[in-house]
Amino acid sequence: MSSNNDQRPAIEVEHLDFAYGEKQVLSGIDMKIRPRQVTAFIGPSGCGKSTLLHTFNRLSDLVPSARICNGHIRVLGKDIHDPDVDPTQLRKKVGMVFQKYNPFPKSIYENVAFGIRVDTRPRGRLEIDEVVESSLRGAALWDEVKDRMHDSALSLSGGQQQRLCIARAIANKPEILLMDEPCAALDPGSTLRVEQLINELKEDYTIVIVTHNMNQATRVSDWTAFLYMGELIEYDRTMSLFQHPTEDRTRAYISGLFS
Amino acid sequence: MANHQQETGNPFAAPPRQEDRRASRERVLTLAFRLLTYAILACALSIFLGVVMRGAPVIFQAEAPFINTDFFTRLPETLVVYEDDQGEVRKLSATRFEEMRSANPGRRFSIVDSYSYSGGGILGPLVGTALLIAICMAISLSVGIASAIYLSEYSSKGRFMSTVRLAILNLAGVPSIVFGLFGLGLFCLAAPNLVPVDQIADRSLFSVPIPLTGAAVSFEGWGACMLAGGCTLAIMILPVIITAAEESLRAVPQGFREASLALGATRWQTIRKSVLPYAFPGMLTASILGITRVAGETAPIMFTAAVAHKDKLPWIGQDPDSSWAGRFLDFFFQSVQALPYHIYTVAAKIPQSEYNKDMQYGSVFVFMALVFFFAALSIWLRARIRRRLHW
Repeated sequence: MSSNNDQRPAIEVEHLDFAYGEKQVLSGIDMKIRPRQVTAFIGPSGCGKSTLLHTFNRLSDLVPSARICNGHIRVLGKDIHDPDVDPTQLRKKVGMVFQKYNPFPKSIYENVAFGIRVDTRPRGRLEIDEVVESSLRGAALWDEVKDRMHDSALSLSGGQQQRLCIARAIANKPEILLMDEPCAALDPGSTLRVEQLINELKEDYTIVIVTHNMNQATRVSDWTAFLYMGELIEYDRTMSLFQHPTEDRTRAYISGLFS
Repeated sequence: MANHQQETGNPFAAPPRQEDRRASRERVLTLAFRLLTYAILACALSIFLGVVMRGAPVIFQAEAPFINTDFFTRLPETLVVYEDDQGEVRKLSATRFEEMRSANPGRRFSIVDSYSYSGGGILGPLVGTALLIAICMAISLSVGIASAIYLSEYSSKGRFMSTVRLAILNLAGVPSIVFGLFGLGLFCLAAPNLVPVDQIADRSLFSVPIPLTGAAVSFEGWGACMLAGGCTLAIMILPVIITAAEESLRAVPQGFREASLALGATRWQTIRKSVLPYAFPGMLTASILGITRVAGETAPIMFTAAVAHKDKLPWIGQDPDSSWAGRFLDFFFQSVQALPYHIYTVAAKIPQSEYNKDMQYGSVFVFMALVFFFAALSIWLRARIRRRLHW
């Protein structure tokens, strides 16, 4: 990838207003998300951080009343609401991992192969095997599951299931990985594994992570955005934001005055 | 209460008389509820036992092959009650009676009485009911699952959709005889049919000739036939299928849909690969239970498909010169016997006597055994698939 491309923001949000029906949930969001960095969204429940994340792969389209009232989102330089954008192709480039790990009740192998199977281009068995293996290696799960690829994914532990979901997402070879509170349902040990994995993955992917846990934001992210009541209050390098917040509300939130 | 405790110094003393009366009233009520619940069980058991005790002897016999094969391999025919030369009164189905008479030319048998449809077996009604169910399920499952998918996966909430739901709910409440009359009016008397131009029936609402073929599309209905009966049953069972299928679809975790879409699957791929397979057990159970309901319906097929007497099985006696497609259509355009209608006929339409009890109870017994079998099958299948597909 050229250095010019490396400088280009992975995601650009411009004056974004977003509403569910009559209820505005995001107003006037402006931000640029740097490529190959981890960006964390923090903020109290209902501040719109998850909604913002879901607009990046247009999964927010699924809510019938959801609409963008104003503004633009550009992913890899392309406005994702242009009529010539196919949401399925967008979602292949912008993978997502959910709060509650949700592998399909199929084999481990079939879970990882899902993205390939729904792709328009048919691929041979060997190629699929290869992608499955490299994705599982990428998600640091290969050694644990290589001998039981055809067991049900639901036989794995919670942490393993979440890493399987990450493997499933990176099997599509995305540019960007969106993670919606990926550790919220995990125990501390599994959380640690996933956080280590995020640190490894940022070599290859732009990662945006929503988290409730401020310690997690400091551990995994390079940049942190604080959202409050649908507005982007502060967005800075993680170290600066936590050590020298410029906004009073940020300071109050990170010091635990409200949550 | 506190007083009482102070007096005796015993916190666990029995309550005074007034409270005692309250407690005994409680006991009486509990007993009444329990007895009423047991009454339901008693009803079910008495029906079940009554049918088994009178029906099982018709089906099973002491000597090999232990099952009354005639009952399953022969069409219903007339039952002959005769007196032989020893003066004993016996009964035999008409065919068997003739066989015996020609085998014993020297003996004299005088026919005392005869009862229609009460001899022979129930092969005709069994086959007819199976065909009606097959047609009904083919139609109602394809339409029902399609609309359940639309309702659960595609439609958005709104006034129109709630009207649709209300319509489905109301459809479930329509009496079955109304469905029967509706089916008669629509399928038997008004549905479009392809007929030769010179054979258009007088009742035809209107007809459109197809140039060069000598045939015409005539809105004259299909007459009483399997297809009309199957369609009528399908409409009747649709609300059940739609509701059950929709519930099964909604029971699939939302996370599967989100994950699938987030991996770049289209909406239809998501439904086909990540929703339908997991809704399948529920749909299967619902459809098998649907079968048991449809199998027992008499009113909807009374005018549309079923006949009391049919001297052949549906696939016999087809015109051998006819084309493959013609024979296929002819097959579905003929009337059939059906088990519930057969039971209605032998139980209510012919003179009652001790001689035709066997046919009545035998048919009911077989019918109930089939329904039990299907219900048990659905429960077993559901348990089996649930074990494989749990989340």
